[in-house]
Amino acid sequence: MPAEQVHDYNPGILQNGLFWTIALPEGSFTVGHRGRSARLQVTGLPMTNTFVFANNFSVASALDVDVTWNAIGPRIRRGFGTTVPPDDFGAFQGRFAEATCAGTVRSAHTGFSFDSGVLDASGFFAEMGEERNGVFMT
Amino acid sequence: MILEQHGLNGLSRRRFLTGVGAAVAAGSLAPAAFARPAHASAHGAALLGGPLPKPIAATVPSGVPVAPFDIIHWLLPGPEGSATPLLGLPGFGLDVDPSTVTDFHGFTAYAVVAGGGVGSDGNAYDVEFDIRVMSGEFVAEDGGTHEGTFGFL
Repeated sequence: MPAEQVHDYNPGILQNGLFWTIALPEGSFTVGHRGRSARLQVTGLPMTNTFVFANNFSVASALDVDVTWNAIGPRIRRGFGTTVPPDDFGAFQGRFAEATCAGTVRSAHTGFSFDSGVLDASGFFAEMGEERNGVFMT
Repeated sequence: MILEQHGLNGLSRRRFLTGVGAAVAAGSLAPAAFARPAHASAHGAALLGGPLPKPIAATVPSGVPVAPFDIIHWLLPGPEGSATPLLGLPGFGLDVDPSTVTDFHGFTAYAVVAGGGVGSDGNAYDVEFDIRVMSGEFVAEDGGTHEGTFGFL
């Protein structure tokens, strides 16, 4: 029995610095109720399991995700737009509503699979809304 | 998505990252081992396929236990004073861009979800999953404006 057991599923870091971000299949993400609900349903999304963060060793894995957001508050203006430097946390313009988020995930690679129970965001934070950053800020 | 075996005093991601940060500051081999490993980059590029979006300019601030700070183009929206349930990462505040893609205009959904589950090895695991979807128009590395849906997973 190892002293600890960790799995870390992620799509990697691109040469341009794009961090753990992957194109999703068309139709996998739907938004409804005038932007107050959303659902991500995707199966077999290719990932790597690096076991611990930033490990050079990884194995090819697949991820199934079925997660739903529901807005629970009003949309609130967020971000400071162009009044702050481009590398500021607030260098965006958005209208976001706090949300609930819950769903399940399944991961698998050779020799191991994992099925979650219902995961939810009650222990931290979720939000949803429209935003613009970079050259799209006005 | 991070899985930690339930009930074991394992090396958490937070602790691991803190260790990496310290190693980087000391100029050890950690940066070469960490920064955009070739296999990960090639894998990521293969996954994207289409026009390549660009990362947000902001990076993790010093003091947050995610390091090395200057290459992680990722922010953690969340109430100040709060922390993620499993890894204990601090919320940066609410006026914080949840998108990992810059030159982006569209709909973003963001959450850190947590809970438990069971592995095929029969063990119970704790899970923390930072999940984001950015769907809309973006200016890619090629300078063109495109439509796309991206997940931070």
